[in-house]
Amino acid sequence: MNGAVRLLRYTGALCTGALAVSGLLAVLATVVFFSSVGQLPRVPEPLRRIIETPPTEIFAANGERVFQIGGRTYVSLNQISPHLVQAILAVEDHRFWDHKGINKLRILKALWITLFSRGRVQGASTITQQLAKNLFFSFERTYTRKFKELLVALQIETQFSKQEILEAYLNQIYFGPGAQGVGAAAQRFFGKSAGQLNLAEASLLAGLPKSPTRYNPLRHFEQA
Amino acid sequence: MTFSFTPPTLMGYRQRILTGRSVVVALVFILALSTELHFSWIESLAGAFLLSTNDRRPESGAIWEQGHLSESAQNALSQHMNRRQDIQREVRRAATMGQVIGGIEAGGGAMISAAHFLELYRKLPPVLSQEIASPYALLAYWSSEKWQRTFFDFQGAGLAIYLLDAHSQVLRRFDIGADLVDHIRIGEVAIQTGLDQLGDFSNHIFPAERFFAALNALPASVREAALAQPADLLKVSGTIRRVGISNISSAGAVDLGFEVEDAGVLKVILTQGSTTAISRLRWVLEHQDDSKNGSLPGGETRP
Repeated sequence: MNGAVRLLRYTGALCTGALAVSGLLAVLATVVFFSSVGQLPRVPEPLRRIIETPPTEIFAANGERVFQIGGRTYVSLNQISPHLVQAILAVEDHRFWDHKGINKLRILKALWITLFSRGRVQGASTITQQLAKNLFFSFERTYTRKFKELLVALQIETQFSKQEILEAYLNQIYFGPGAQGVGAAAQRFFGKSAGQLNLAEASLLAGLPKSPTRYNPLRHFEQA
Repeated sequence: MTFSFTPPTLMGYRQRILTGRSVVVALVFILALSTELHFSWIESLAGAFLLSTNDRRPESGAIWEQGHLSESAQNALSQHMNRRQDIQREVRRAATMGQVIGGIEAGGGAMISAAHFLELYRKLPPVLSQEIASPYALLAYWSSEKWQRTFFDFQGAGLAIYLLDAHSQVLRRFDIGADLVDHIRIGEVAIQTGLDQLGDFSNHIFPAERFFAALNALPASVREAALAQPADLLKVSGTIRRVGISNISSAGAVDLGFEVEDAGVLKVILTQGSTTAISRLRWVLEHQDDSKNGSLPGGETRP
């Protein structure tokens, strides 16, 4: 038996093994998919309904407003500075407009790093996945939670347009204490509306969600 | 060791790989993989399937729970507000101080205007109104025009009454004890005992018939000063048997005790009259007694 035949034999065995493992994984994913469906949370329509919370206002007997508790103002995508939108997309998910909820190549890369580089964990969440996580799931790091989050992301992508998803994401993302959503963050850090942010301000804000405490410009300006 | 199904030559491999079935399987696999990479049809299919099950799935997860909590908090707040508005409406229509206090829930409060408070204050028996607040103090605040509203606030069994200015700043606070609150609520001061047990009245106790006869003999102005709200006594259940005049005069007023027998139980209802008017009343009572029954100087009945 010559070398070429041996190479073909090994390649064939490898392909067969890879196909078998892929098939097994596909079957497993299908089983887990159907068994998880009933446990997934219902996704509301429209998304902004649950993000937009009216404030509770306390009035004095003479009609004067004493103070306000909670409440979040929803900012439409066209009212947000394009600089901020682009900066957020660049930092969080640069293939947002192309994927259908998950970034397969990034997942494979992250999986590879997580499995083969000790001590390193690579994240691969798209904006849609982050939205699903922030809206419906706790922050426990389990494979079950991750899988459910991925499924909800797939549904969100089917149910809503990219603009709606991005708008919802930008309105619920946490930039720091008292700064949930771009509207509140722009007001808190720069005293202006989300539509008035310039490139530098937008870049600074876009970096905050990675670590709202460490990059808080009011406390650690240099790091921010 | 060689496997029996492994072709031993390149030709054998070529023959195996290039069969029609293998080529079709490979093409289908490559097509599926490349279209999935390009069009993400697996994600779209899964998403569409999940969307079709959306209505059957539970409203669970962080944002739903937050929504439910927020909804229930708003409902509770709305119920509380409705209840408060009902109370406030009732209190604004109250015709007596007892109705105001009766309308306030335990732990709650109610607001009325300063003018309304004064109107209700004037309707109280003097013995009660004097205990709540001195009319001189109220006059001072009323004439200064700062006092705009009055807030009633239950604190335990007692009651705090705040005189407030237009900006809800407290001008004065009056604390009312639990016993007095009960008396205001029923609109009278009743002590669950007989006159004989009250030392203040020991020397001047008269039969009710004689007392009212003497009262009627007085000029109208004196009568009113002695007993300002006679109608209150008509509302009392039971029969007034005897009346006592207190030995003690305080701040120009003297307590009167009306002993009422109701279903065999004695109670004393307290009112106040002006010292001058009561002195005249007592004089009449004593002289009636002298003229009708000379053997009992002073006119008092003996227990």
